[in-house]
Amino acid sequence: MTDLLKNRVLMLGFALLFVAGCSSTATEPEGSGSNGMDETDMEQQSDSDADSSDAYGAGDGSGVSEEDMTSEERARKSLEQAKEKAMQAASTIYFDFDSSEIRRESQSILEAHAAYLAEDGDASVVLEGHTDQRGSREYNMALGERRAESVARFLRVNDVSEDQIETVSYGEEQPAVEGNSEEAWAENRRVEINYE
Amino acid sequence: MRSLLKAGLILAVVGASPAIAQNEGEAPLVSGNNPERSGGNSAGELFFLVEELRAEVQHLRGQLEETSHQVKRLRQQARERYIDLDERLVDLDSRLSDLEESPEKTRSGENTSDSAEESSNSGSSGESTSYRQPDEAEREAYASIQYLIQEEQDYEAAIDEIYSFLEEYPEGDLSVNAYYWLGEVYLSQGKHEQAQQAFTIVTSRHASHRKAPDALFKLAVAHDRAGDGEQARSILDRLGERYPESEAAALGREYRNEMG
Amino acid sequence: MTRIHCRAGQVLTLIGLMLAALVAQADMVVRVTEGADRRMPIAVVPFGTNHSRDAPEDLDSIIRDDLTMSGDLKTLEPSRMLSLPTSGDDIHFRDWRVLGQQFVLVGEVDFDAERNRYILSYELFDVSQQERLLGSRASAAPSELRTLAHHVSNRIYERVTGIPGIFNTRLAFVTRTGSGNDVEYRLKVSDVDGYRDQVLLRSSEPILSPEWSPDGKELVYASFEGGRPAIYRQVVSSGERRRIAHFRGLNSAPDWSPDGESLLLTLSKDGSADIYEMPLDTLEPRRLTRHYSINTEPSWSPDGERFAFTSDRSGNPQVYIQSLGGDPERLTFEGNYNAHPIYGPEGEEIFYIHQADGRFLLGSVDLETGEERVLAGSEIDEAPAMAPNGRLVLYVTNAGGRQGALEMTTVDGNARFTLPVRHDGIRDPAWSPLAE
Repeated sequence: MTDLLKNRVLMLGFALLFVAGCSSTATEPEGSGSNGMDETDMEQQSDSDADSSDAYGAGDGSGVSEEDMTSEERARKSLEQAKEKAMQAASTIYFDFDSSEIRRESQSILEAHAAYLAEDGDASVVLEGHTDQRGSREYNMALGERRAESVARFLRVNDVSEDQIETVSYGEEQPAVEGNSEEAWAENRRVEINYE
Repeated sequence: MRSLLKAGLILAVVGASPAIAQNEGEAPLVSGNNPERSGGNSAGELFFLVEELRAEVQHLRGQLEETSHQVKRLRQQARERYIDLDERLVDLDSRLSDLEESPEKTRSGENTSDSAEESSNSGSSGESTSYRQPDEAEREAYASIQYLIQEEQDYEAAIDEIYSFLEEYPEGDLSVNAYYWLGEVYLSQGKHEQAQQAFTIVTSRHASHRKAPDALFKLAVAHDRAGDGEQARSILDRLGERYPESEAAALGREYRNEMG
Repeated sequence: MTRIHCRAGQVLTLIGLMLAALVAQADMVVRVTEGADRRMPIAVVPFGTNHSRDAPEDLDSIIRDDLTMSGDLKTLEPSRMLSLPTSGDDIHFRDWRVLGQQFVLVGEVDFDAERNRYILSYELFDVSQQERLLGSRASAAPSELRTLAHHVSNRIYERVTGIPGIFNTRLAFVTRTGSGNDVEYRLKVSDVDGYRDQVLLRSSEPILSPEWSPDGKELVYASFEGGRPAIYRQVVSSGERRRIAHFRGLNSAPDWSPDGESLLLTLSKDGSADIYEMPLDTLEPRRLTRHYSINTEPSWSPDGERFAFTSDRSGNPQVYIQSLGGDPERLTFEGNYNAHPIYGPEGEEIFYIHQADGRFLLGSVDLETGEERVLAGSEIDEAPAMAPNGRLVLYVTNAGGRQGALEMTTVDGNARFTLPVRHDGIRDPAWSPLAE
């Protein structure tokens, strides 16, 4: 029950953020507003991003005369929408310490990316796995790889072709945020989805 | 083809979803699960299911590794305790016999008839050679140990067998043999400390057993291999004194000559 | 002082040298941070000098630092010495007995202008036996004086302990400096005390995991130049290098086999991070582990028959051991994070990173008894490296604001030292084999 309520509130929150020009996509952190926003907020926000696709389409102002479109146009249209939706979705997935399990809350983000990649066979992504700086460097290198591989596997089971995906791990070498705090670590345990 | 697969996936997910629900308490991943969505992306659902199963298998594997490690350690400790207990018994035995001997000496001047009586008593208790004779099952168990040592040369298994044999058939004729073989196996593995303990049980507690001279000889060998030549020599001397006619004594003299 | 019956000028030079030594020591002394003291006391007397030209390096002070760093010897501060003999004939053994010294090293430095070489004549004495243990003469060009000092340290250490000295070995390590777009990685080698470092490779992309070849002439390492990881081997003296592994996914954690013929390394070309053996002639890797979990950080046993590695097949990283054709066996059971194993040189003990209460410490497990213990009280969070004589473990520590300090502990955990030289952003130290 409370979950449902929370979701609503979050969706509302998201809508507001969206209006404020929230698209905190791509390789952001360092200076950007991410400091004030903790990591779960970001993810839930993007979670609702996918859920609130209707609101997004409405804001687009282009879906008025669909009946008049040719099937070709429709196909192109849906591709564009999938693309925009993928681009709109957060492009960073976060993980728990020493874990490569994709959190449930990341599912819809990844589905948005998968939908676009499955649609557009020419698009391709590089999945960059990263870890926080704690623990053994070489183990972290493998952990980053497995995080990227987890995401790749999710995309593959969602009909994305193997050739469209490339994985690379930087281990703990390229932190998104420098620093030795729980917050910095949480932001560094991630897979970045970069379109080529 | 693909749609067929998909149908299969959906079926699998539907079939599996109660299992997911049951697991909710343990797997935090599932707690955020939204049932309305689960029908939406069956491939995604299956993905999470497999991830969870993998994690669960890893977790179980970890527990299995830890449990078998503990079992191994406990067995080892049990073994050590057994030897320790035996040592203490041997020690107690020798102290008891010391106690029995010493009053007799102090009294010897005063009352010759008593001392004669007592010394003959203690003599007979020391010489009591009647060991419990084995039955068929015990013989068989013993034979299987012999087989493990001489044919299979599986010393680890042999050690385990010897310990369970000693537990089952204590204080018999063959159990003395078993201690002797325990010493032999340890000696061949280079575990000199354990070998010494096993041989000592034979030489001190069963000094009249037919294996005693051999055990004394091997005890000397064990000390020598452990680098304690002096102790080895003194044991070999004792062997010559105590069992001058035995084969082991002859071997001991040879060994001593080689030691120089 | 009365025993130094030499020319007046020489006494002055000597005092000057002493002062120089004291000043230098203020910022370069090897610091012992803790430990039960079972070290043997040795007095390294400031060397006399027989020429007008001062040596560019303070030989006796380098030797003092070396011997302190060994973990087995304790050196006496020159300021506490009662006399400063420069040859065996001048030694008053009573002076050193009073100071509780077991050994005394004295020496004199000469300069041969014709050959442009410094010559050090030195003698080592056992104080209680009043016996000369060593008496020798060694020379070096002015640029090689540190090598000369390390050589003498080796002779002394070996004579006194019977263990090969490590003072002429070298370290390889990586530094990372700058931030954002100005990050620079450098692959470096240096003397064992951190001095005389040379850069072997610079890159804006990560460099990781240098390891020495068993002959001490080459390094293998992972480098991300071009955006993807690959394994390179490089000749230290010439800089000549070759890319030897560049498979899809991970190319990581190389470890050179004791016979020099092959590498163990971590690849993920077949899906999961697994350990492979790759002969250096064919460069065709053969898979040794097979599990969907992480398997990495292989370390050869000294006999080359098995390897230790990190695997999280049980849900979190633990140390396993496996023979080349066999099945893995788990070694560590304490705690939820045990990683980066390295073999002790006798193959009887394995060291690794152990996490306890959110901190990373140096752990070790005895292969005979299975006993696990935690060694240093310092936070390491970095790959440890084993001294080739098996007496010391080296690691980087960032604890207590000591950013990028190299710290060593004796293998028994009884003494810890911080090395004098700092390198900003230092990581991944690797210790060369003993020099031939």
